[in-house]
Amino acid sequence: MDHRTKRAGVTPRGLLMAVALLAILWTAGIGGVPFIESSGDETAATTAGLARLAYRPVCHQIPHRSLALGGRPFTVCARCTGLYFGGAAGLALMALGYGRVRFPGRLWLLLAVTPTVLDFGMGHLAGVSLPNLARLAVAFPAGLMLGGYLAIGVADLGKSWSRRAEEARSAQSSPATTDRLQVGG
Amino acid sequence: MERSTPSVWMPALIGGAVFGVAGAIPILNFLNCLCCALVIGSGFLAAFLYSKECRKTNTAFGGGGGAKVGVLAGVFYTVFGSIVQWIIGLITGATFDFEEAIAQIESNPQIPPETADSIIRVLESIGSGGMWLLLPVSLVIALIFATVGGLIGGAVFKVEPAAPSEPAL
Repeated sequence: MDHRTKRAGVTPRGLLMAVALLAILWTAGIGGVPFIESSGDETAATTAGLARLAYRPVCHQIPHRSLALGGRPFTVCARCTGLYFGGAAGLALMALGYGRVRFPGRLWLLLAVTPTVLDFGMGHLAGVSLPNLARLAVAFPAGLMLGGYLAIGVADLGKSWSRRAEEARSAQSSPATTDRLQVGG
Repeated sequence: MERSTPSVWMPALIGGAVFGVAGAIPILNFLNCLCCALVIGSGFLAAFLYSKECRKTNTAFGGGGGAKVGVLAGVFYTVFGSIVQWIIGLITGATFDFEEAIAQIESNPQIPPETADSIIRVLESIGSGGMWLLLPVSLVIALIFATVGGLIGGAVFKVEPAAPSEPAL
């Protein structure tokens, strides 16, 4: 069985569901890790520490810029929390409403991303910083739109895989026709 | 007349190189704290450049092409980022000191104690000789996020090929 035949089982919606599930798991870890740490169990604390390490390359993890659960900071800052929660929501919405949801145009993406870019710029250039919950709220729409567009891209990737698998199947099932076409062409 | 599919190499090279260099420059690399914005940007820029080529040649472009050009941009991002980081280290004389890195992590008030403990534990377990192991980790992160950028770019800059016009008789 070649790789193209294996891909035959992948449907665009299935691929989108899988990516949405991964995003939800990743997002659950943001609030889940401090929850696990608060359990007091040594093994759980070590696992949670390693999970924090996994989030380290994608966020500065500054405690006072992060939301907290039981006095322990989330694994990413408030802005990243908003982006990831929004992204997971966008992916999940598109996966659940596959084929029925029409996503807003590019202008809406720009409008959604602008406030969080401004917030980031103001914070680093002018030192003006929003409170954590406001930073999360500002980042959420940007995440939602980016997640939605990511879902469109993933579904498109799934469609191209399905198409290729379909072509491979039809080429395998009718080699004689293909040969005749090649000779005739 | 049927035109050939444009090459993904040049857009991926440009996207990866531009953002890889930016990601290696101190202060500018802080943008990566925004959900790896620079890495995602490399895939997104590569997808944008590739979509322009596809438009010129009337070739279809979407998520599949975006993922392909994005993943390649991630490879170039890591290569260029590592090279520039190494050059900057040579110029500034800031070579990697294992003991100093651990001391810095321990004394940094911005790193939560839980994270600091985890980082130190991992660093100590791999030892100073195993620091090269961090390169594949960077590569994996770059591949994932640059592909995400490429997929988003594929959706944003989607190209549907125009139907061929009837030849004039």
